[in-house]
Amino acid sequence: MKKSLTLRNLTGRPGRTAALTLLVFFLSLTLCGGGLTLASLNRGLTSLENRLGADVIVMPSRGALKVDPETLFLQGTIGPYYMPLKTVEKINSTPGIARSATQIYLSSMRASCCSMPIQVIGFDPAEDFTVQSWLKESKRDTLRTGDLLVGSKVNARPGESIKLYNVSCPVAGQLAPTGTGLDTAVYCTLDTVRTLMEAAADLGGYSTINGDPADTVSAVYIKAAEGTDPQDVADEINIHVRKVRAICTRSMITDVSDSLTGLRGTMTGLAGAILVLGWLLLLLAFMLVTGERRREFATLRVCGYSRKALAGLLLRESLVISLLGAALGIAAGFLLTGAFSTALESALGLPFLMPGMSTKAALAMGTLGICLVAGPLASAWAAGRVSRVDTGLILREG
Amino acid sequence: MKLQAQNISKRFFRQNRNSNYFYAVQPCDFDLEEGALTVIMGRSGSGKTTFMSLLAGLLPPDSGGVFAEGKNLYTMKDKALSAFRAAHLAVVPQGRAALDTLSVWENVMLNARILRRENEETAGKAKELLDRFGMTPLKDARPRELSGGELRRMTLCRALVTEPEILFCDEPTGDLDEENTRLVLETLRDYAHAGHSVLLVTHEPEAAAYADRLLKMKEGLPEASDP
Repeated sequence: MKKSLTLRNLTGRPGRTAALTLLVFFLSLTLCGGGLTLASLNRGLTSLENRLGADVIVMPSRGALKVDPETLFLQGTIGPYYMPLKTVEKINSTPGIARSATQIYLSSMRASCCSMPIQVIGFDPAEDFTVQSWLKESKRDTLRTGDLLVGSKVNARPGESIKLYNVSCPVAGQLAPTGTGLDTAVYCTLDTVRTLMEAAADLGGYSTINGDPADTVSAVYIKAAEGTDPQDVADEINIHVRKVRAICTRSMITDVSDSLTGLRGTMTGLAGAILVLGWLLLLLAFMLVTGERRREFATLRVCGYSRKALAGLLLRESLVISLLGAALGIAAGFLLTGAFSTALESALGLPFLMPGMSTKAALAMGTLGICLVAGPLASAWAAGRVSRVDTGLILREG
Repeated sequence: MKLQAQNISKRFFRQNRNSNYFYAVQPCDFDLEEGALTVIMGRSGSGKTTFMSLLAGLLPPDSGGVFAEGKNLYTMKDKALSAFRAAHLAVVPQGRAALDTLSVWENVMLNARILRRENEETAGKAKELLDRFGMTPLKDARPRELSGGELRRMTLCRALVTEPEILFCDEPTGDLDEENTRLVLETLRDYAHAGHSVLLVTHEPEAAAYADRLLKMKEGLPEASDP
């Protein structure tokens, strides 16, 4: 007998082994996939907080046009909205502002003049305090006029060029993923975006303020002075500056965080219920299998197997099954969550960023640990039951 | 090795007019002799299998004990009793007693494997036994592919491979034809006469002719009878 009895029992009954492995697989998939989704949402929220950088965001608001920053940050959709520089001056004169930076948004067109429909975000490296930290994380310190930095989900690599309104812009680098709508945008200096706006205007695609890109701004990012409540700054702007909407990012983060907390509670509850149900199913399966194998166990006892040796055999079998099922479930959990991350992001409407290797490893080890305890625990109960029955009674059954 | 049972009894739950229990084995003494084939005959339900299980250390008695080498099997810890069973006893149980995931050869070598005696000597012994019982062509088959008689012969081969000092057989000829029944009974008698203790539990009338000592089981009591 070259292979151990444990392996012979597992390979000799492939249907039974596959059914038990499948149960552990689903348990592991639920734990790993659910955990990975929650970790991705948590990281997405942290990333969103980091990327916002500002306490207050001010955007134009005119008539029916209600600009919603959440749409920009979560879905990456930018509307063609602008305000003149004199509005920016009024905003900057609001008390309680420590720093402010302007950004200009432009959307490319689905036409021959543009390589792809894409959102362009222009910022001033000299005054910016929101994009710069991201550039540093992405190991990009400088950005030359004319160059583009592309988000992680933009299909262009450094060294390639993107054509925007017939202007060819070289891609200088790719930014680290954020799990937000910002990953689908490209970034450039204010000079670059103004050049693109002029080119767009020439093609009739865009109308700027007074036809002057230099007098055009899409958003103002504000850092409140120390000791000042950002909400007071936002309220002050909303009251005193016309045709703009100031939003406190804290409330935006809180909204997203509240959604995430609700989702986290639901998912944790579901995962817990599935874990308990899955374990009960596993217990039932092991009990049925053990009942079916009573004669086999009696034969081993007759041949000299002790109760402990018999329980050991069953535990080893369940350990192999649990290891196999857990490994497959973890692999499937990572693959499926990775493959459907974009779908999950848009379905949940929340920032979604896959966690780093250490979190993934911890999640995999945790899932493996739970499965390696759950499987043998279920079989231990069944093993205890069968080993307590006197062999003579089983033999008496005939 | 001599096996002695002192005042052993076993009762099971069964509700009737007078009591909630019935005695499968009534309190009795019994010696299993060395070098003799002891045959216990009796009707179905007379307590033969329970009596054999008590002697083999497989079913704790409600009273008394079973002694071998001065030790009561039922005061031993499970690990020690299992080791004793593996080293000194072999049982051919009634009904199916095979591991379906192993081949016939591996089933026959199971006792030797548990005793860590999978060597050339035991392998040679296993080949000889399979040959004697006409099982050599089936050595690679799975137990589920065997008939009842073939399974019975395979179990007997397994019990004999390690040459245990005490052998218990419960209806080993149950599914066998006349020729194989004779072969099995001759083998058991020869094995007993080679200095081993053999207890055969059966309702096969032909077995009486091979017995050195014949007992009849009546209402849970083994009673001596003429061979």
